Amino acid sequence: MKKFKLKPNIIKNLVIMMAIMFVCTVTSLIFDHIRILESNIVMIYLLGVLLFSFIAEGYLYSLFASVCVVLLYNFFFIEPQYTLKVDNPDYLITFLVMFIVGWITSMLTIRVKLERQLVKDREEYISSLYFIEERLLNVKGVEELAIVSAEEISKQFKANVLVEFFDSTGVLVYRKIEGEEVFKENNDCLACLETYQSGSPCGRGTTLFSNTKAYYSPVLSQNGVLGVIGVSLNDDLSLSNAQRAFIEVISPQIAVVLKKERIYEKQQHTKMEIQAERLRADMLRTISHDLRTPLAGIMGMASTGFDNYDKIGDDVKKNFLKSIYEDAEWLNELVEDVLQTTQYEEGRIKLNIAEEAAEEIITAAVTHVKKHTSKYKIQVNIPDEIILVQVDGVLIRQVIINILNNAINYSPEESVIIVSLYCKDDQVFFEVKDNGPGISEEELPHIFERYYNRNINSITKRKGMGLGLSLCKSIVEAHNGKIAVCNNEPHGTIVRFYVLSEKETK
Amino acid sequence: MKPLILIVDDETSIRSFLQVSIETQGYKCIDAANGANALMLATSHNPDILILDLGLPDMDGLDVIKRLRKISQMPIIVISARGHDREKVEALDAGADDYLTKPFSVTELLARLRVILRHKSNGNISSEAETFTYKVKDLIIDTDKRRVWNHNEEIRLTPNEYKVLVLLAKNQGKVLTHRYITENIWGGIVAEDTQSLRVCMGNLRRKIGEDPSQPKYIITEIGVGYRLIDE
Repeated sequence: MKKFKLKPNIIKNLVIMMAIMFVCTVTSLIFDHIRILESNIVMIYLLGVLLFSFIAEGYLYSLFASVCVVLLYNFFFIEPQYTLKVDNPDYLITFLVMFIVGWITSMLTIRVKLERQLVKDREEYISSLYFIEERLLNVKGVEELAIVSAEEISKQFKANVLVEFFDSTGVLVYRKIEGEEVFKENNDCLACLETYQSGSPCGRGTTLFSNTKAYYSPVLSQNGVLGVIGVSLNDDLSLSNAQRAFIEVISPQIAVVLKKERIYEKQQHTKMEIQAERLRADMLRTISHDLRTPLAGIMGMASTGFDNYDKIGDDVKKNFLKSIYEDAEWLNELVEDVLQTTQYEEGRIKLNIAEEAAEEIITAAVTHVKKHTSKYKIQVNIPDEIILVQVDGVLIRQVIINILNNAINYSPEESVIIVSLYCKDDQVFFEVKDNGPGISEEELPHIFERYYNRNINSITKRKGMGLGLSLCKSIVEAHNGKIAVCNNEPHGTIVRFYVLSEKETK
Repeated sequence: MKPLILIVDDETSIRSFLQVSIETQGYKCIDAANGANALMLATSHNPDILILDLGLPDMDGLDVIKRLRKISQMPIIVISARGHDREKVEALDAGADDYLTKPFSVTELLARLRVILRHKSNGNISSEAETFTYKVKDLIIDTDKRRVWNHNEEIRLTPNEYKVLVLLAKNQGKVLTHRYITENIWGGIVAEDTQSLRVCMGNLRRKIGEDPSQPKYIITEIGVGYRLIDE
């Protein structure tokens, strides 16, 4: 393989050498003809050697070229001409000096050139290190860190790279591969594991697991191994020392960033937990307060009815029973909201996605609401075409019911509520319009907040827990949709939300 | 003879108010608090209707249905807790006739009981006879001539729409699961069939002039199925 690659190079260099020698010889012959001093011919040949060694690079070439010029000089210019014989033994010294000077100067040229290359390489190395460091410092999140490290190392070596990060309990959290997946074989997995457990490099080019495809290096921090980097060069090559050194320089950087990200994530987590804890406390307080209102009514009416059974008239008893039923129903709604919210918070609500006709969901929601209220006129506008959506029908129905109940609670009796369904691009819109008092500008930004209760005005009869709209928002967002509220003209509220039509979600 | 209703629920308060409200309708009542008792009473008394709560202390309500279905075709109304939608559909697919979600209104339950009892007294002629004329409000389905009228105006249905409508009419008042309908009309349950069913129902609703804010004929039970209104 190696020879094959170099062959055209050798031929090329030989041709260049022949050309240079030819030019030197012709020039020298002309000089000789016009009787210019013989020593100049030596200089011209030496110049040729210098020139050639500058182009060709390689000590063997310069040695060969030096021998060649000596022979050429001897052949063309030393008596007897056109033979390799030498009459005057003095010339032997000339030859020797000529050879030594040619060789040494060409070697020096080569060395200068090589050193220049070395400086250039180092500069590139440092700048690429600097660049990678800068990229690593700017990543957001552990996942991006894995991606960036794999990308950069792969770019640097033009190799397939594996980056694995483990958490403190040794569970693999991120695995990123840049290039081809060549790390799957049993041996490679074992080597990777060994690297993680021992904290020292393994794999190709080392003594352990040398039959694997890749070289594995640990990502170390003071508290142990955080991850493993695997590098698999093309052409079955092992990593050079410089390349290994590069990984050794880069992996502590990765470890530092990784630790930083871990700490950040932990902080965020704690912050969220504190917030959730506070919310839960708030919720308990609100719940117990809000549940007490209907309960007080139920208890009061039941005990009054029971204690004074013979003293009160049948119509009063009937009224009591009816009110008890209504209060219990209200209580049930509140409990339902709490239950769904807690389920949602714990992430226990699983979307039960199915293909549903959007109009069926609306109709189901409207008929459900109508069962409890006859004092409002609910109008439904649906398009002629049948719109199918991939949603959890029960939850979306709940969203519409919650919005409708809000509309009913906040607008006067006999008002008209319009529910519309329409399609715009790939979004399916559900819209509920009422002509109640509307929502003031100050309140608009808060209405999706949990436990937010609007200032109750004289129209409203029952107070909810302020869970309804925040729950709606969570459900719609779980469907990759959005929900928004704005004011209706001349007064009233419009609540609108969309989910993606089935073509998109599929 | 008074119809006999068997109530199965592990909560005493629910059993007692159900019993009172059912007896006010002139039906007779027996009750059981667990699955084993329920099976025993169902086989020994052969009630006209079984009201079954799915959350029983000793066994899964679904098993009660499956075991009963092996020996009897008695109508079963299932009562399930809110949020257990899958359980509900499973019960219907296992052979339950109807369902109610807790907390339910007693009026609703009594209405369902009446529907079932009326179908029972009509005998099973309607579901077995090849041809029959159904009349629901202003909708008339003549299976002999394979024609459908709404407000004395004939409406044109595709073969599948017609088949779905007849299937619903044959089981008037009873909720039919998506699975049941697709199996009966399309003969299988493939993903495309749910889509076909939704589109078919949508077209059917438009043709019989349903008001989307207040359906007169076809009730959609989201996540469960469809029902043709009875009363």
